[in-house]
Amino acid sequence: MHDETDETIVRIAAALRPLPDVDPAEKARVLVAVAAERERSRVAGIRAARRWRRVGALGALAAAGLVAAVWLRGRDVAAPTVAATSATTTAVGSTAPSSGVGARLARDDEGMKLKTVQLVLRAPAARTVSVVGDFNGWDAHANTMTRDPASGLWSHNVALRPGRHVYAFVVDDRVWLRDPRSPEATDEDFGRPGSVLLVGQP
Amino acid sequence: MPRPRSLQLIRPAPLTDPPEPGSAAERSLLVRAAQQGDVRAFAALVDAYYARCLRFALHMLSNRGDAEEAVQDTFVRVYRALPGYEERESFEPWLFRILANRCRSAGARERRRSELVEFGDVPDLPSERRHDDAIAWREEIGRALATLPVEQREAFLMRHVEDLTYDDMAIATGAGISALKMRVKRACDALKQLLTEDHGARRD
Amino acid sequence: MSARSLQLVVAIGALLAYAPTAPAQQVAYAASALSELDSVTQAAVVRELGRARTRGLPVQPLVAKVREGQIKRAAPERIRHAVAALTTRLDSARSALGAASNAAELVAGADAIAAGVNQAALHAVRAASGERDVSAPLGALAQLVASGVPVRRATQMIVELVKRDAGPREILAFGIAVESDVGAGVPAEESALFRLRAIESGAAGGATTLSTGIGDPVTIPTSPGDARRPRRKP
Repeated sequence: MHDETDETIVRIAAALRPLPDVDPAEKARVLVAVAAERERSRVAGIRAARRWRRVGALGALAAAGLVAAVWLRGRDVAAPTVAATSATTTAVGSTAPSSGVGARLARDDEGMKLKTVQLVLRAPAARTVSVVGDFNGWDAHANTMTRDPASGLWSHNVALRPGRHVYAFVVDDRVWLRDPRSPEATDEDFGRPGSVLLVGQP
Repeated sequence: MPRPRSLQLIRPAPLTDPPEPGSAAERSLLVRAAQQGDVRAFAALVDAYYARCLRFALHMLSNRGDAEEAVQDTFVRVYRALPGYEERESFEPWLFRILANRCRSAGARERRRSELVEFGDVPDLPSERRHDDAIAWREEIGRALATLPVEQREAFLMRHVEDLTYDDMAIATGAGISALKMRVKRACDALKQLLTEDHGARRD
Repeated sequence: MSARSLQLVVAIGALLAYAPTAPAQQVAYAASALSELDSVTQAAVVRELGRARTRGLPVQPLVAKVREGQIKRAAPERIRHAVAALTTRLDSARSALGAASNAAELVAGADAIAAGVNQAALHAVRAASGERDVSAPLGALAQLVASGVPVRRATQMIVELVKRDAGPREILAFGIAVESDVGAGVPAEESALFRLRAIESGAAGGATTLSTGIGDPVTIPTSPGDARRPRRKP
């Protein structure tokens, strides 16, 4: 076929041919999943008594098997039974995401007094609006705003530590919207600026 | 006197003479062993094919997370389907059939996921600006590939990157050979058009 | 077990290694952020977390940065880059503010650095504050500089306020006031001088906050001529 020898196609194919780097951990994941399958299925009588000695590229076998074993063990150890410790956060910072903002959160994890701030947005066409920011770990489901039927304004009270915060609105889970009434926070990291809130003491 | 029935001697494969690494013979051995439950043989198959599968999935999905997931799901399904696999079909097209299906599902999922829209474009970070021509070229190709319809992209990659024969491709896609040739041709035409007119126009 | 839940398990394991005393909620939050990354980026980010941990830097802000990148639909490479950049800023903040600084102070310091404040300025604020927490002064400083007050000038002002025993309330109110003036079109440095003088002369309250009557006061720039039109998608 003509395409086989077409110079452009050859160049394109050559650019696409290099194999990607693969972390052994990725392959090990497959083996662990397969091991789980094996536990589940009981296929009677199909167990190899044979052992393969050397079969060419099975030098990697040992590595794969070892990694699989390590991952299997890792799975047991890292089972999520995390003990809830007290508020002694040493290496982990204190700006914990607030789950369930409400009257309950007058203080944050470290007992710091929080100030309640009301955020308001005019967005009559929106179906849902939520606030995301450094105080809730940028979680679009943590602080949803409510719409006042009379005025059409969306509002939400959020409890914040005094200091400087960056936030934005997410409308209909699709649109990133800076608060037009607050100063812009530059975003050198990701190019989507939010807004700044300077919060005073309660 | 009845003729003695000839006995079939089942001899184990000679251990002193293993097949060439990477050969079709070795692959057959691995597959058969894996079918019979030899996990290390299966691990060797994963080892042998993972990178190629990932290459295909990356070009189909252009998102590493989705590509990895597609490949991993593929191998798990291969494992599950091994008992039913018959050696008449060669392993590779069979593997690619499963992989192509996984990629199609992932692609469909991606299109349904809502995109976060913003007003205006996100500017490039200065530190990330690519001066490397080779990388820029690969990115252009990636973009061009993404514009192709799924079947054409699939066919192009299988033919020109994964080097499958049209017979193998027919097994992998379930399509007829002339349909596949048409898809490859259309893909090549589209790519040539996109990539020769853009080439030379520098993106800042 | 799906590949995805395996990734979650791995992420939890990694985090337990790096932040063994973290409360369960934080670990879960962090793990879910990490598990959504592809394995290459995840490995790189986990390495960063480890490095930060070894240097005694807070890990949670780094995880929050990952989350921020995810909600902003950033490419994995950018996320990785941003985490590394934040680690560097936290490190610089710590060398300027001292190893005894708490996490909030370091984060405020890193934000200030991102806004253009240099280490000397951070150090000066710390020196003037003595035992007191510097997060509020640093937050105000960051915002002053971001509004356009030159770093040296802004630092002088904040240091001055701190030395006068101005508490976080006053310092932040100062920052808020300058911000609203800038929004109204007043040049930043002029506003800062004006507001500072007001505080020095003992005028009551530097901030202008509106009470909307709905509940708590809202921090909205007070200028009625706030001409910033929200950009709308056509």
